[in-house]
Amino acid sequence: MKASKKDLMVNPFFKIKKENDQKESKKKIKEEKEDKVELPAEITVNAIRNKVVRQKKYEALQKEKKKAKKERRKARAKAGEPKQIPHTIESLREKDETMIFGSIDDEENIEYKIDMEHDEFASYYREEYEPKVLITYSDNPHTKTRIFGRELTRIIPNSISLYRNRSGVKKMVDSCIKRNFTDIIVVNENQCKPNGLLIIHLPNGPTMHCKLSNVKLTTDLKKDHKEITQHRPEVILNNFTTRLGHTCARMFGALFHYQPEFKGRRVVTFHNQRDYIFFRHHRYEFDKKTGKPRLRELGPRFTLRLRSIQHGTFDSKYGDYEWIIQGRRHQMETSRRKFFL
Amino acid sequence: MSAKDFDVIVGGTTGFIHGVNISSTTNIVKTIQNPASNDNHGEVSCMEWENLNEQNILIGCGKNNVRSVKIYDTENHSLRTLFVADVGLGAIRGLAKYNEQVLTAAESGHIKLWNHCGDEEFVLEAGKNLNRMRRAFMQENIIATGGDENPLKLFDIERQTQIFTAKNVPNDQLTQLKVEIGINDVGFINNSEHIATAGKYGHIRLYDIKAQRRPVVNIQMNGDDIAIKALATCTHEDKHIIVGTGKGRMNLIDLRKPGKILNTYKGPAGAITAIAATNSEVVSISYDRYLYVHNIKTKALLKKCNLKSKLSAMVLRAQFFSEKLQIKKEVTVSDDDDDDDIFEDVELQKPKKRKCIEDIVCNGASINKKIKNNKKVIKKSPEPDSDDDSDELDTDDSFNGDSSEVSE
Repeated sequence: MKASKKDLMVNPFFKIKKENDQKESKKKIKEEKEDKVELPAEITVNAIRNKVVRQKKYEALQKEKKKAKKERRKARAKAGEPKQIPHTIESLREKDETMIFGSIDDEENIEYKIDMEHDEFASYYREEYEPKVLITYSDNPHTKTRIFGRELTRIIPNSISLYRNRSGVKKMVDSCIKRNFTDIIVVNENQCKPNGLLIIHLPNGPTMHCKLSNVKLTTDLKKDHKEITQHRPEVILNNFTTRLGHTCARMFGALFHYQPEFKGRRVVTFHNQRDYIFFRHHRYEFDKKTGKPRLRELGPRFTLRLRSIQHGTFDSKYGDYEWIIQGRRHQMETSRRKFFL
Repeated sequence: MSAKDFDVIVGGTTGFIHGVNISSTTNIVKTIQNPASNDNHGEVSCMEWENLNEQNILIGCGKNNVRSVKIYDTENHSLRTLFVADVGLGAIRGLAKYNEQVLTAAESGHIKLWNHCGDEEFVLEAGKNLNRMRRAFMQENIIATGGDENPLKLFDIERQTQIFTAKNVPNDQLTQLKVEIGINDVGFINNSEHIATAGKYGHIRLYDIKAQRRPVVNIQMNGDDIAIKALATCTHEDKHIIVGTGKGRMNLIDLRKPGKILNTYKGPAGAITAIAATNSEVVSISYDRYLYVHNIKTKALLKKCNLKSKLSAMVLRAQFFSEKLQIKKEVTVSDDDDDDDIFEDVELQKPKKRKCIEDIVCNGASINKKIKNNKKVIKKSPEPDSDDDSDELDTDDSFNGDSSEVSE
């Protein structure tokens, strides 16, 4: 103990430190004396402890900000600056190698064009046959699924809806080929709601499996199915950009007759947005005075999401898949901005 | 870019034939056959080198109507149709050259040696639903076939006889039912005595024709993704094969007893239709329109090449990749990251490890120089360990002192 005390006494730094401390403290006192009564210049809204006051102040602040933003925008418009394009997940989409830009007839897309001219849908797009579609269900479909299937028959011309009667898909494929069907649609259900769509192109495939969600029947939309006429609809396939997307679009397109009856003014839309395919069914009409078009939704509406495309007709176990996401989701979905269609 | 430089030549389901040159920076793709041309007969179902010198490629085209055999000369890059194969039914499932004559195998099981002089033509029957026919590397006269409910069979073309038929494995233990045969691909391992088969029910089997008629090794793939579409034998190690499935799973398989499923190669999103392996890489093509190059050992995806159409058949030049790899290695040595150099050195000589780290601490900038020089010393004179130690000491001293000595 004694030794340590001695050491401390000897410690040369100790003294210096003390001196420094003294100097600093003196300085501080001086400063305090100079600016005595200074309040914080700005009290942030967060610091207000009364809830009611805080909320009021916050609202006022927001209003002010909005106003300023509006003014800035106005000023920009006045100055003639171009409108800024907001960043969205879609506009920031990661570029995919297989994206097809421009028209399919462009020279850079010639390979894709030739490829498509020789695929399974080529004969449909050469208008060699009229599609004939069978719509069927999983076994013992519930009301909602049945109604959904029936509504599909109203949308797709030359289609019939039949119960499956416990038949296997592969058997159905064989018998449908014999009866000159060109496509089969199987509506699957879960918990009394349609939840899956299997589309098989005949006779040589491909087979597409989609998740089906957000089904709104015509009655859910408070529309009457009697509004839907027998005319063949126009088909809009929107925003399918990659090669895979084009395959999907061609598949959807091949369900409908290639020659729409424009008199009916019916439009069926498959709109792809972030790999979700939105289906809508409209009738358009032109305003008699202004001549502007107006849309009237007829229903149903639903959303699809691609799960797999398989080469050839249905064979989920031993078939050759062209694209499948099952089992490699984390591997393939590397970013929020990566899309496949 | 001449066609001689193509590493891989692939065929598509619509009738495309592409030559692909793969390099570390860019891939050059050239179209050899366009489906829009007149002599397109549809899907390219089969592709094979004519012989080991890898000049000509035999190509089997067509599926239902017209099936033809074409030949592509990689030196003159000319494609011409040899003949229309009108024997049997279904696509051509195998091609081989024997005595300047072409051997074809149709899906209906008809194997024919085409001789246009007229005399020696003959047809072998290998059974229905034939999925694959391959010829042995070493013995030109031996071919193997297999298909759905069509066991592995070996034929001798010279004598025009069947020399081996595989016997099915014993019935299933639980159900006492016959195990189904669904061979999708066969491959000769090293010689013509060991044959590997793989099929749609996930069976991978190795047959030794001298030992027994039943497989000597039998591996069952597990999971729901088991339908094997393609098989390739490896050259880097004995009795290793690589298989690819209909859902895009690719595995390295060790066929030495008891048989083991090893590496999984990730990447493909669709059915793998053909695989070829070199000593260090495996090249595969898929229905998802991509060509993949993986490193066999590290499983890393080295290259992914979009070929714009569904791919169904491929041939790979055997030496090309190894040559390219060498070039790659040189590049890495010359301008690699310095950190890697350090670790390489650590691996070479363990005692140096501590020194290196110390050096980094004291002087990060000049350390790299020193290590590189060390390397040079090692390369120039591969001497016993004691000498190496002395080298080390020398360089260390010089590092502390003057650096002029080091550069010598």
